[in-house]
Amino acid sequence: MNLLYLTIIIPLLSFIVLVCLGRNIRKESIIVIGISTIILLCLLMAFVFIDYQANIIPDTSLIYSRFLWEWFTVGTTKISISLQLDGLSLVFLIIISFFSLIIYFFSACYLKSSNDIYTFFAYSNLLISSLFLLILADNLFVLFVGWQGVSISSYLLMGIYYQKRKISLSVIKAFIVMCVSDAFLLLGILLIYNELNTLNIHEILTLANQNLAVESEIVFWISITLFIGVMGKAGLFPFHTSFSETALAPMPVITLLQSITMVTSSGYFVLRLNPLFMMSSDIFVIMGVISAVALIFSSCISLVQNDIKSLVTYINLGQISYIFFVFSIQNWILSLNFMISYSVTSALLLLSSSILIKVCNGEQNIYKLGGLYHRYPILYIAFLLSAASLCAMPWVMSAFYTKGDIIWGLMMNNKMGLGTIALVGILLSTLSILRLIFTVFHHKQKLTHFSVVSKLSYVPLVILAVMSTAVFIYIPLPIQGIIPAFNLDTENQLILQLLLAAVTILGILIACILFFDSNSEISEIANTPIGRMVFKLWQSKWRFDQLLQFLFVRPCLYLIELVKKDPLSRWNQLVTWGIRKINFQIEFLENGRLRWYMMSIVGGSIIILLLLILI
Amino acid sequence: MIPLMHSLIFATTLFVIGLFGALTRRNFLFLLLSLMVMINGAVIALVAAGAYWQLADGQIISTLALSTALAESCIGLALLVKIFHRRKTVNIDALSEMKG
Repeated sequence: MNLLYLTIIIPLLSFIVLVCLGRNIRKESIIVIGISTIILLCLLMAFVFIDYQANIIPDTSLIYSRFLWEWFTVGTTKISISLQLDGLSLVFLIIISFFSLIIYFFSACYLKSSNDIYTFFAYSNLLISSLFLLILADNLFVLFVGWQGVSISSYLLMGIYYQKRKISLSVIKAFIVMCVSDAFLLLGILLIYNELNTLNIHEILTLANQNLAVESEIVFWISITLFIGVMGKAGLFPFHTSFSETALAPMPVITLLQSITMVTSSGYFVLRLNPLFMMSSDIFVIMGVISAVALIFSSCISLVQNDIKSLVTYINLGQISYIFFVFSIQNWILSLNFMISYSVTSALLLLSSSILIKVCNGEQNIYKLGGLYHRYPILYIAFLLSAASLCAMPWVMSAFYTKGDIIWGLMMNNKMGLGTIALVGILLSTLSILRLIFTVFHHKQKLTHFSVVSKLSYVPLVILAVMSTAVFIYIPLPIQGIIPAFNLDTENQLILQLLLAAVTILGILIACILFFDSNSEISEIANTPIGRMVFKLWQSKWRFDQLLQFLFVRPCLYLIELVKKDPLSRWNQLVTWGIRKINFQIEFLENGRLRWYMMSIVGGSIIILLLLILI
Repeated sequence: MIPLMHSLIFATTLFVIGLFGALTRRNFLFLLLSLMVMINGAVIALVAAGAYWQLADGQIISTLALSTALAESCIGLALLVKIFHRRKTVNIDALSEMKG
C-alpha cells in the first residue's frame, strides 16, 4: 500500500523517457519500455489489491490515505498532495490497469511504424498517470489536475496522425469542446469551495449534508456544472465531439480512450460525489433526458455510417448514455457493473475492428469488404460476441442482465419514456452492429489479398470475449459504505426480461431481413425522398458540425472582423494622426536655408522683447 | 547736444536695415555689406552711450568693434574671392550645402 504513489510516478517517468528518447531508439526497445511499464503497474496493482484484501475487516469500508506533501496553502485552505484508496478507487484502478495491459499488449502487435508506437506509448503513459492521479486524489483540486492531464493526453493521443491537416483541425475542435466542459467542471469546484470552504472530498461530502439544503438552488447549480464537466469527458450529446473525434486516431488509441478513459474518469467522478448529486433531484431528470437524446442521436448516426471506425465509435457513444441512464435512477452499484460490462464490450468490438482493418490492408469502408467469415472464423466469432453483448443476448451475455436491470429500474421509477427509449436504443444498436457484421462477413468477397496478423493479437480478443459472457455479471465489488446500496424490486422482472429478449430477437430478425443479402429493399427505402433526406441527415451526423459552425464559429468570426481594426485604439491613432498633420504643416520651415533660421530667431527674439517691454 | 533717444533710434534703424539686408540678400558681397551696416549701427549706439555718460569707454569699445568688423570683412572678402574662384557664383543659396 505504501508503494501506491509509484503507480503515478512510473508511467510519468516512462512518459518522460519515451518523449525524450523516443525518436532515437529502436522500435523493439520502445515496446519493451511501454510493456514493462504497464506490467510493473499491474504487479503494483495486484500487490495493492492483495494488501487491501488482507487488511479489510468485514462489513466496513477500509480507507487508506497517505499524506505525501503539502502543495500550497491559501488562507486557511491547505491543498495537500495525498493519496486516498478505498474500495471504489480500487475497482477503478484495477479496471484501468487491466485494460491498459490488454491494450498495450495489443498495440505492440498492431502498430507498425516506430513513430506511432513511441507517441502512443508515451502519451498513453501520461494518460494512465493522470487517470491514477484523478482517482487517487483526495481533494478536488488535485483531482482537477488529473482531469486536465487526461484532457491534454487525450488530445495528444488523438492527434497522432497530426500530419494530416483535417485530422489536426478536428482534434483541435475536440480539444476545445473538452476545455469548455472542463471550464464548467472548474466552475462547479469553485462553487463548492465558495459554499463549503474546503476542497477535500471527504469533508465536502460531510459538510454538504450539514450545511446545504436539499433541493436548494446552489446545490442544483453545483451539480449541473459538475455534470456538464462530466458530459465533456463522457461524450454525452452536446459535448460528444470530444468522443466522436477519437475515431481519427489509430485503433488502439480509440480503444484506450473510448473504453477506459472516458468512462472511468466521468463515472468515477459521479460515483465519488454521488451524495452531492443526490441532494438535487432535478439533475437526475436532466441526466435521463440528455442520455436519451444522446442515445437516439448516436444510434441513428451509427445506422448509416460506412466507415468502420466511425460506425463503432457511434455505437459506443450510444452505449455510454446507458451509464447515465443508470445514474439517473441512482442505482450506483449497477452503474459500476454496467461500466465494467461496457468497457469489456467496447474493447472487444474495437480490437476486433482493428484486426479487421489490419487484415484488409487498412480498408475502412464496409462496402468494399465482404465474405470474410470462412477466412477469419475467430474474428467473426469475436464480432458476433460483441454484437450479442450489444444486443443484450438473452441469458448469455452479461449485458443482458445489466441492461435489463437498467430498463427495469427506469420502468420502476415511473420513467416509462426513458425505458422505451433505452429499448429502442438496444434495437438500433443491434441493427447497426449487425449491418456491419453482415456486410463485412457475408456479402460477396471483394478484396483479393489480405495482410497477415500475428496470432498473438488474438489473445486479448479471447480474454475479452470470455469476460463479456454472463459468467461475469455481478462481480462482488468492495464498495460498501461508499456507495449507497440499492434494492431493486425484482418482482415481475421476468416479464421485462422476456420483453427485452423479444426486442433483441426482433432486432436480429429485422437486421437479417434488411442486411443479410445485399438486397435492394434497403436501397429502395433509401431512395425515397424522405429516406434520402433522413439518410443524408444521419450520414452528416445530424449536421451537428454545421450547427456548431452556425452557433459559435460564425459569430466568433464576425466579432473578430469587428474588432480586427481595434476600435479602442482609435484614440491613440487620433493623437498620432494629429501630430502627423501638424508636422506636414510646419515641415517647410526646415529647409536648410540659414536665412530662414535667422529670420525665425529674429522674429522670435522680437516677440520676446515685445512681451518683455509690453507686459 | 543730440538727445540720446535720437541717436539710439538712428542706431536701431541702421541695425534693422542691416539685418533686413542680411536676411534678404542672396549676394555674398551684399551680405558682408549688410553685416558692416549692422556693426555700424551697434558702434553708433556705443558712441551715443559713451557720450551720454561722459565716459571714454564707449569710444574704446567702438574702436574695438570697428577693428573686429574690418577683420571680419577682410576674411569675408578673402572667402568671397576663393568661393568665386571655385564655384563661379556668389549666390549663397546656391552655395548652401545644408539639407532641409
